Amino acid sequence: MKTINKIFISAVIIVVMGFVASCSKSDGTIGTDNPKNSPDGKSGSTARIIIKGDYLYAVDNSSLKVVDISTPSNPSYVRSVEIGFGIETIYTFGDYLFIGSNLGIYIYGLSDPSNPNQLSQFEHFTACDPVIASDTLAFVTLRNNNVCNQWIVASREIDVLNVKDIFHPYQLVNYIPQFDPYGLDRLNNYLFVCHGTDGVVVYDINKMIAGYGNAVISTITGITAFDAVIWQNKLFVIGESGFYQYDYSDIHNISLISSILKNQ
Amino acid sequence: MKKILIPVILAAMIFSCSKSTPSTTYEEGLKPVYISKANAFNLKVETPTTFTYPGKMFLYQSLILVTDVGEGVHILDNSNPVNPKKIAFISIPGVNDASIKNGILYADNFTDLVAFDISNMSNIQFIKRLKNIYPLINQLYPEFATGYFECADTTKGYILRWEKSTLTNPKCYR
Repeated sequence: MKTINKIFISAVIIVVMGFVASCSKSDGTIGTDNPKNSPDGKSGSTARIIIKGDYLYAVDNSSLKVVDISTPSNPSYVRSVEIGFGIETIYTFGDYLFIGSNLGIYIYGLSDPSNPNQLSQFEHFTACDPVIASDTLAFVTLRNNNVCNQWIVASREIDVLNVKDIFHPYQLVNYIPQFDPYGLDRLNNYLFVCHGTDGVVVYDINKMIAGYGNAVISTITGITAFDAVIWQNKLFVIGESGFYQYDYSDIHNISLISSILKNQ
Repeated sequence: MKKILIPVILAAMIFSCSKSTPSTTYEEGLKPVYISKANAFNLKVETPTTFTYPGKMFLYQSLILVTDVGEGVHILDNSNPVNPKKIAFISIPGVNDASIKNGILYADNFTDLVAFDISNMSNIQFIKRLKNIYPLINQLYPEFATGYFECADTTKGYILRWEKSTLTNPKCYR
């Protein structure tokens, strides 16, 4: 017996925020600041728990939990903030939270860090004006490898958003990568994107935005990669088989420093 | 009238006869892996162990946290990046993610948030549990998946994860 076929888009949305120190220059270079979400530590883009100042923020499928950790050894629950359907990831930059869901990105302000308030949202699959003039960017990876609803065309994209005006984010470019994208991180003009069984690809952000030339700078193959984090001048990658760290000082020849695999 | 009825009846008989007896079907799908409700909130600091379902990472100074989805959190010392070393494993059933601030590690444990003092790695201490701040997820059907799955039996405990499996006569589908 066939039961109800439910439309379900299995998109994974990951938000990475990048801030650019100065206004965009005429040559299109996009600044140097590296996103970082706490002075001592850093979460991956697929995180569901993050720490910002005296608060811990955790997402479940539909809401944001706020926990006061001003006394770290004695955390206390503050409140739950309803967000929406299909919440998957949380990321912070500056005084903002970026919450990735099946349907879009929600941006929350932390002017009162104990009570985040929604500032704006960006829905996926919305066409936006391709304007290249920003000093603040967000990157989103989207994959939809749905197999049971054949009328939904499987799609994959990396969206670059202009979030300079935090109340009105808009899409700068929707880049179609060769493979399904998962977790990601950014360093200056480099975007490190995990592609599952197809490893990690480093993209040139300027070229992605410009929309011409080959944006692929280099690739790491032979591993399954779900999330990537730049930390202490190294690239950390986690995947189905374990964790890896790489030296990217020669971006065209990223070399493995060490790894710990499942059987080790 | 009869001329119409007879073929209709005949057709109905043929149709009913052609119905075969139900046979065993096998489908690729997802199967729940349970943990008893008694063990679901049992936390344990253990010696280093191998990764089972490596999922999330958190970097903190020269430490690396690797979350083993549903199982617990591995703590690694990366002060020598050429040779990172596992130093401890905290068994936290149902865990998805972990983070650290000022020597305190926070992680989710099904409905709860738990905290450990890891400032002394040779003496990791459980310090606090915030109860019922999360709803239980993934317990009735596998999130973000479509297709056949083995129906969840909540009397068996909480579901740690959904595993790919060949299912016999699966009754649940989404």
